[in-house]
Amino acid sequence: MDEGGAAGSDDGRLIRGRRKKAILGFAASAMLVVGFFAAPRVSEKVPPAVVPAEPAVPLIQGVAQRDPFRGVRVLQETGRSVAPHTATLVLSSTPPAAGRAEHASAGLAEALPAVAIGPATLLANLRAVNTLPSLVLSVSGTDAEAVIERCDPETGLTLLRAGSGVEIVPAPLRADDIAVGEAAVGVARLAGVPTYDPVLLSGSEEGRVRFTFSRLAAGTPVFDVDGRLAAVAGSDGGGWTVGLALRRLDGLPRPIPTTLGVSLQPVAGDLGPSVAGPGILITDVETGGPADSAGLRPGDVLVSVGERPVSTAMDLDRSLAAGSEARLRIRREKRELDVAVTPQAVCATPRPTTRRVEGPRAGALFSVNSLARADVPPEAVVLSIDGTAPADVRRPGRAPRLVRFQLEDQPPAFAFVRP
Amino acid sequence: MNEILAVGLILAVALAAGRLAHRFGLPEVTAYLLVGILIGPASLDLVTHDAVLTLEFLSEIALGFILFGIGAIFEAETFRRVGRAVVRIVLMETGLTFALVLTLLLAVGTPAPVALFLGVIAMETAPATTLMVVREYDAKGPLTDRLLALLALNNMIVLAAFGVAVAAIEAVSIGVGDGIGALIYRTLYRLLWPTVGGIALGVVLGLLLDAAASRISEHGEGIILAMAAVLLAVGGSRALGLSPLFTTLAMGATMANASAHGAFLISALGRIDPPLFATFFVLAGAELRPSAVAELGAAGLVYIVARPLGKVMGVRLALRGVDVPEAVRRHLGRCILSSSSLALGLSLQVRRVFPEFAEPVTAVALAAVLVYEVVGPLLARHSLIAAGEAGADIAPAPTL
Repeated sequence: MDEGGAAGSDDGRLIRGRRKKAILGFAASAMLVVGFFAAPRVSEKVPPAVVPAEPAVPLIQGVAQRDPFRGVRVLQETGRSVAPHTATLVLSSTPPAAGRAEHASAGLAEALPAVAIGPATLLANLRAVNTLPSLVLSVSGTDAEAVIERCDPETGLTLLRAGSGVEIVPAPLRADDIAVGEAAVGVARLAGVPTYDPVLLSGSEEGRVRFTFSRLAAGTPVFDVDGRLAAVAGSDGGGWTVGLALRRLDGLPRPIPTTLGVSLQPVAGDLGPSVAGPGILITDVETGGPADSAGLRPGDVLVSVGERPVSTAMDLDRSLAAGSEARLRIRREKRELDVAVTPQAVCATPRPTTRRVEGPRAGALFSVNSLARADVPPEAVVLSIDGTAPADVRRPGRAPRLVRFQLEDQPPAFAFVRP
Repeated sequence: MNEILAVGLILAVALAAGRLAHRFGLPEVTAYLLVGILIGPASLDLVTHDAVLTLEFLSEIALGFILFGIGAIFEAETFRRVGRAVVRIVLMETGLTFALVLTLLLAVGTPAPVALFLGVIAMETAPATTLMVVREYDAKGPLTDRLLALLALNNMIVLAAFGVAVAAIEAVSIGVGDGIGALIYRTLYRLLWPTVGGIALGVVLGLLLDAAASRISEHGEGIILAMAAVLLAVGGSRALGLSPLFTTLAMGATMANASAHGAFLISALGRIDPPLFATFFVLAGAELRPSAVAELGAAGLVYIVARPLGKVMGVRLALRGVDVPEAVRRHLGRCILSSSSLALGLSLQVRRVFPEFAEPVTAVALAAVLVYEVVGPLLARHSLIAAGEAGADIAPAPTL
């Protein structure tokens, strides 16, 4: 590593004399300064999109509730290497033909075609803007590690942090911020298969929404807003695939999340005599919570709320409103009982996924309940369930959707759990 | 256990382990690493994972001292004597190791990006571990000269190769994105800034160090100055996104070539660095997980066998027909098998840049480091002794 300077003296030193040192020092300093300022731009600052001034028109009309992903097209492959992306979503009511989505990252801004969802059309301008002080709600990959980042007691809106690589930029929450609804936004690198990352979106001023998404590890299942499996992140090369799907909530503004103070496990009926029949198994009751006050116990199975049968946590969510009494039908040891409960508003989306199941292993629940309904050959080794190693499966927030397994001498494969 | 207690414990067990190592004729480094594994999170968990993370800055500083020392060996005169042969050796051993590991990994069905990264990581030789053995046995001679020069060059090439690998995989798997020009610029910048920029910072600091050293005669001040220089180099390069490795190496080399006070400063540092080095190696051990070796698959076994093969054969090939002492020809290959911090650092970087490839890369790299960190110093010690370059078998760490 000779830094220059002529070879010279008898004691083996290269750099002798004040002048030589000064020149060398100056050259090295200059190189440092030039290099420092020659750094390639990591993020271009894109000016905020202009939002058309007719926000009164419903943004989304009649989006197919059952399948928010039908018809979603893969938008564009873009070059990007470093997670996470941050983007600002600007919703507008421009007609479809004029709808454009722009995705910009790492100094790159490319026009993307508009997004069409199901029979209805959602128009979005998607722009990556790193500077807007807007709201971020983001859940990346599976929600197994989602933790509450921040919560606004007035609106019940919660910021969740999930896994690593997800950047959350807190911003003031306002009640009228919540006008957009939920959405599923996703990115993943894979060959051909679009993958989506569920992201809870919320509007901010001028209908701008900021969200952050992260790269998905290979094999990560991605769920839509209803908790259905939307896609699986592949492991092969391929570019970034950006997909976007939005679904409006039933009412605006977004209802305040409620809780009964219970942990739930959806059941399909194979768990043994005590919980036979569909419903939601209550696995834990929070002491002092609404369910506790109403006398609910772990092991009870929630069958319906009022007249509406429930089989997923999402069903339950939809059937409850904070502060108004709900009549729950539960099954307890083969008897059915009616219980009146008044749900509380919560400052968090309940995600009872961080505690391990006591007693029978979650894996056992999965095996009787779900693996049989997935096309997993009996001799296969199960590698992961919903992206989590079988040994590490925690209490699931919803029924398992995806099993990754491997047969001897074959590459790993996926099987979907039939609902 | 709080971090201060952890450092105290680390030093205490290092002392005991060093003593034991002498009794059994083992290099101290090996003993430090083993005792690190023992008290680390993988075994007794006396030094917890959190403590290891908190104390990482000590390791960084220690590595700075080590590389500064290696850089200071680069006197023009020494380099002129061994330089050409060493460049040849390094190119050959890294090239052959890379080619061998890559080819064999691909042959056993490892995905190409994983094989590529492991090929690059396999090229690395641990400067710290190797230098520690040289110091412990007060080795001097033609083999030692070439070995030390080789360490510095090897690490430079590995860093550059890693940058190229990242750029290549990015270009292939992600696509060019915002234009080929931008990609090339990004890639070149990512390669050149940490390396050339690091050298530039090292030169500047080295010259400043020289200027300051000429005004100092007292030993205590010398220690303060040398410490300040190393910390400024490590911290400064980190702040600027440069490679601390290159910065400290260049600073050492500049000082050795510009200053008449180099030996004074190095000897000043020699008085304070033993505890730092002991901490460095015990912590390095604490980061290792013995169980990783048991989890090695075919790829891991291939890697573990192919890497030393490539290195030893590379040295042999490079020295064919070259006029070097017989000891160098026979023993140099076996001196360069250690693998440590840089390999771990690179695999962590893979995790950051390409999370989808990280798991297999990290698994193999971690297990391999464990194997080579135990075997490497033993072989290096044996080779140095066999080459007749080990001065004092029981000498405490002498000055650089």
